[in-house]
Amino acid sequence: MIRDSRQLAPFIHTEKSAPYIYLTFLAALVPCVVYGIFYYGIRAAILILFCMASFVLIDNLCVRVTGRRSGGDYFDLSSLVEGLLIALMLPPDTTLVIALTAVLFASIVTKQIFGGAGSNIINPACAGRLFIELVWPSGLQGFSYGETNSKFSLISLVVQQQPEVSPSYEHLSIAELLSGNYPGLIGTTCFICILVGAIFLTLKGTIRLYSPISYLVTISVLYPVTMLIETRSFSFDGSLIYLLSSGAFFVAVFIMGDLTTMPSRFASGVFAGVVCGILTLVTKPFVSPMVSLLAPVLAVNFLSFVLDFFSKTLSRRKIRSREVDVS
Amino acid sequence: MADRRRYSFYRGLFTGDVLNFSKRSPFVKEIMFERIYPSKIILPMKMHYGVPAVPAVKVGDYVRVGQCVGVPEKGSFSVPVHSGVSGKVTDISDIRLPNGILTPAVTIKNDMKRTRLDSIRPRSGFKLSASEAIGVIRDAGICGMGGEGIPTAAKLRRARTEVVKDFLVNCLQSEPYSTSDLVAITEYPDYVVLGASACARAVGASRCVFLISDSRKEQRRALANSIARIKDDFRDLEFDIKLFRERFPQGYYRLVARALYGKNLALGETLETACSAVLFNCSTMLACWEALSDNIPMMSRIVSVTGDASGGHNILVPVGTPVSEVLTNSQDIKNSSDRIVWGNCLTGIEITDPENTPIVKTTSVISVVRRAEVPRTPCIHCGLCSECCPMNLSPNTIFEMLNQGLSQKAAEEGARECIACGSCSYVCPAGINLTTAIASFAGEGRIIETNSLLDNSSAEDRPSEDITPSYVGEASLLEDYAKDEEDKSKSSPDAITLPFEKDKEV
Repeated sequence: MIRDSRQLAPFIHTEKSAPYIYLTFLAALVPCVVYGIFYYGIRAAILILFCMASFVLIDNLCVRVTGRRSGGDYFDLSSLVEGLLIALMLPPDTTLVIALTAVLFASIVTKQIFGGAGSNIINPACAGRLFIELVWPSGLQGFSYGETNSKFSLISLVVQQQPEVSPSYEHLSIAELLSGNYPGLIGTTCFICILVGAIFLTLKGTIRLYSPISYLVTISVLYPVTMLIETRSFSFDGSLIYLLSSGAFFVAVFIMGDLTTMPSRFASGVFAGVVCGILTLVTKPFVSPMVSLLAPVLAVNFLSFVLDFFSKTLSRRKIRSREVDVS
Repeated sequence: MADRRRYSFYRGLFTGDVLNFSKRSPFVKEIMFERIYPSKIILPMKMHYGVPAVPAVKVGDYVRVGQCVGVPEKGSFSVPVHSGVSGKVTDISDIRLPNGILTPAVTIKNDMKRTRLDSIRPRSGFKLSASEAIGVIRDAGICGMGGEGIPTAAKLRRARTEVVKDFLVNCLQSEPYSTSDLVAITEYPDYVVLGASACARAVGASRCVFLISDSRKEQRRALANSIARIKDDFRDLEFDIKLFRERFPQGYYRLVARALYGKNLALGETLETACSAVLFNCSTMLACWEALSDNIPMMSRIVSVTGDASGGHNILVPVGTPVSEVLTNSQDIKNSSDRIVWGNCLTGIEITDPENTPIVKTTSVISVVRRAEVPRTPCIHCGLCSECCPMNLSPNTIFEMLNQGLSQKAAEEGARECIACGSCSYVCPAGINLTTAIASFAGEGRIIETNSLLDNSSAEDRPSEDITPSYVGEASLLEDYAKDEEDKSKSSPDAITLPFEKDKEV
């Protein structure tokens, strides 16, 4: 074995660098962004830009303050992706202060403390969104959709609106559910946009589908069971409405499909998805919808390394035991 | 040979799309492969696994094509070295090969006359016993041409002592851009099949299996045709073609064992003991048949000159040709800043001195790749490396453990299993050089060389027991072999007449 200064093999490298992965996520989110701005007007656009810009700013400030990496090899697109994800999970009538709180929590507490892009254990966007949901439950009820002039009103960005009861979705038709033509969060309502993003990510190979698929399957299979317990009636209609209207699909694709924070192996990924689905359904009657969606994901994020380790150990049990015997 | 099961191991790189594998069909562009005749050759005495041969010529001697210039020491684990050109020996000195081996080398200046030894001509009356055939192969200086460079005769002999059922011929060349083995099949399918059959008889195998990727349709058809042609001469052998999926380190023997026999070989195990099979590269089989039928020692080989900064060429060169001469003949080197890699671009070694670096017997490809800067960032824990690791390791975890000095933990995690295939470094989005770190750790435990791990041909051999020390390289040595052994490798109605080194003066 020689050790010298020449570069050692391999001499070719895949095009899928880290910026490429984040860039595909950004590109996959573009349909949702366009849809949100189209339906909710300027305030949605301002919220999205504000979240992205502030996330980048805070990330860079943290890096400067800690002196971790001066400059860096590339512009860190992960900040943009996470800011965008937070913005898309906000209701359209959210004040900038609340959005800024979410970004601050996501950037500082869940990302930079753990060591910056890629080193985070839990998903920053998910954690930030969950944080404001717990701190300001009433501040995230602004679903004023369909009112006159609402597309150009900016007052909701500054002043807290009257909290509204979360709209009910039972009366919506399938077409409305698919197209997202009903009051909801900025980016999570349009099923078709999310599906386009998911297909794009799958084609680019920057999403890991074990968790999302098992999550969605778990929810759609077990939802009728929970309905049976609650309402004594068994039907699959409710599960479709829940999947499409609650934002579960968005969470599945863009948060559970994340490469960094979710388990990377098949067995552990499927296990994580199933656990997430079960936890979501169990907690759904007791907490607000966003908490029941995001808290299980955070729980699984914490576990993902352990899950990976166990699945690897199980699959390599023989080899490991032999090596330990030898040494 | 229609559709049947496709064998493969789990994980690995899908070379079809991931690596932008050379899409050129060998029949369209590479069938016209060139032969070059260099102005000088540098013949290192150690191109194989074992000890170096000893130069048998002096400065100023005139050597002819096919003449033995390096003889193995008596009783040592080595193979002879033959000259592929005729001319004067100008220099005998030590050189260092890119993989760190320091070896004496004979430099021969080509007189362009191509005078050759009289012994190089088709064997007439060819009737060989098994040990004679193995002796011929050893005297021809044949070693595994895929990567490891184990002397083929030693491997055949070991396969003969172990009782081997399957004789596997590795026609899977899954390294990015390289097609030299495939061209060997395209050009000489009969030679490959005949060589494989003869060697299979010599080791006493009952099945001769060709492993080939299912996307290589022309080569599959060529092999199938050749098998159909010669099947009647080898009625005791059962021929088979197994189709494999095209994934990157498929040719490695442990992955072949996993794909074909469903067995996970541990570190010391060999194919012979675990699966009662033996694996040879198809180029090696071609060389074996040339030696057996035409008495040609291993003095030339097919080399791919390829890479993203070069077109695709396959060139038949004498062993020892300097890399620079190979490159000048491929004529499409555009940029002097391109990187020249001795070997394929995932496992090869970069060379800076192409004038003095020779093509050796194990060099199947010279890659010319563009210098590309990979953005380097901290690990983003995406897990893509463990997704593609053929040995089912977690390179990111192991890398982290090694960085923190937890080598015992890393060994428990399986770091010693690393075969240095380069897949993890290739896919890493953060541009971390995982392979170097892990492979050098794995290499501390067992003696390996940087480029020797990912071989395309042969099992990792540990030749502890010495081979029968019947010596090689002197005049008329083959006459010493016992003639009355059972006639196993009667592959054509001739009997052996001429040894290789008939008129070599030692």
